[in-house]
Amino acid sequence: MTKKVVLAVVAVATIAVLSLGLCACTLVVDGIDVGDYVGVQYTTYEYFNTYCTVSCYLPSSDKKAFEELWEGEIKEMIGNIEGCLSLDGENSDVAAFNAAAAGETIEISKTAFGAFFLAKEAYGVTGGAFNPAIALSVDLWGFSPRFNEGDYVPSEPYDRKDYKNELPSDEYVAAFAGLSDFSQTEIREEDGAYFVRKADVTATVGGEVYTQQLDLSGIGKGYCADAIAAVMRKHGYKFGYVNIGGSSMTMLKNARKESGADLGEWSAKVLSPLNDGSNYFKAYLKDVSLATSGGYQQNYEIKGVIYSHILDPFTGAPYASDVLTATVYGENAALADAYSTAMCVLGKDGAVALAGRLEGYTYTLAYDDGKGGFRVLSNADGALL
Amino acid sequence: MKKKGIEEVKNGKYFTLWDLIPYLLIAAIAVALLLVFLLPQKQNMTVFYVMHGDEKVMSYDFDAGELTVEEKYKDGVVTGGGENGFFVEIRTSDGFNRFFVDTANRTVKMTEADCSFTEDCTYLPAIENEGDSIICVPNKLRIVAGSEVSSPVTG
Repeated sequence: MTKKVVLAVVAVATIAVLSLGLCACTLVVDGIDVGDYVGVQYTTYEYFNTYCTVSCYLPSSDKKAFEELWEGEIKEMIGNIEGCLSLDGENSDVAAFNAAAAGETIEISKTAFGAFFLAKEAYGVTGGAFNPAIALSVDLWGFSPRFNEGDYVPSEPYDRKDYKNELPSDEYVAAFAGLSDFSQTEIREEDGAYFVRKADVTATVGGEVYTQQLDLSGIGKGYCADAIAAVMRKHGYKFGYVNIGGSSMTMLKNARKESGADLGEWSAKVLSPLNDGSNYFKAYLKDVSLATSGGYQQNYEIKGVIYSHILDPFTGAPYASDVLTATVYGENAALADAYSTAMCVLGKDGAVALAGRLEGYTYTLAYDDGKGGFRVLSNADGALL
Repeated sequence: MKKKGIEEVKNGKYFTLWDLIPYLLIAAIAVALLLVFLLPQKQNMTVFYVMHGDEKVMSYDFDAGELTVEEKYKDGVVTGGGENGFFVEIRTSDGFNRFFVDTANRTVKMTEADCSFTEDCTYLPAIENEGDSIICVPNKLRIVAGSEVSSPVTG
């Protein structure tokens, strides 16, 4: 071999090695070099009675601008959405609805209208298995926000002093379930204004007259997660994710390469329904919204029976199906929230039937195997852990 | 190229520096490929930090064995010895949490929370990889392993 040939081989090989070395420092996702992007993550605990985390990968020169976006537009928007959908508060459209008389029409904000619209859609698609008109039942069973504050004092006629050890009366359970026909609640837009007409139905128990009450917390977090992600995209931030309470998430793209995932994908883990802290499923996702519902958290036990915070609208009592947890992902986090809740209520067979009617949504659920463990059903492209 | 005589070959070295070059190049390429495919993967944490709301409370560097507590929280953080690691107790305006730092296995596990809720955070697994996190919602406390951005977990 002449020196010239050797030198040529060495030169080519050196260039190849340098190129590979350079590759190690660059990462191109959807045509954007994110190799030198840095991550920022902000969390607030001020809304929805849980945490809201916004994560973003961006050029380091954008860190200040993103912090300002978080402190300004994003937090303001979260506060606005929560304010409109909370069960109390001066500006709450839901509180105004709940205070209205049966059959009364009230004007609501555009933000609330968007949530009402999605709730109506989910109610229809799930055949009523997702139903936001069960606020009274949620309160009756001790799962509304007033029970989480540590200073609960019985104040309603149906309250029990020790609500975690004493079941509500059947009379209230049946009466409140009878108020939950959400198909009778109508929404409409008229000349740029938004209106909702409350279902014209009442129930009288112990001399008290009750009307239909809404609780949109079932989709509120997802609704908000999508809205935050939309703001991020509007400002050009394409890498990151929004996580509200762990149950509602909207993902943009990932700027880090994760093991097993394609470029741009997040490796999202789903907690096991055994509540032992382990994960039972992992999905590789990007540009998608995700929600999980399950009865294994936020529950109490009376005489060996677990009473979960997810209420069955058809009975007015905590759901008792074989589905322990359900995760749904697709284009809309609010609807994913509603569908995952409905799958818990419907049970394994009903959940699979519902999944067959959902276009563009993927599910994974764990159901009771009757032996203290669980089995998994899924049409997702992921991996069991 | 000049043909070598049999004697010349017999008396020559088994290999020359030029003969090694292809092998060195292959080795270099292999190392570069390893860098490309292994570096971006998740790794065991080297540091973790604790946030209260949006404020950093403390951080710990496993390599240096160095615990750094932010000035504002100096009175609220207590550490104590334990087998294969140490305990950290944090008292903030929102409540009390206690977690164990396993320095041998480089994991962190929440062990106590004084909230009136179901203490979900104490049931979460020990964090061990970059990006893992534990969140105590009532006490607004978050433990994050290394990475600037925690991994998405739903449940």
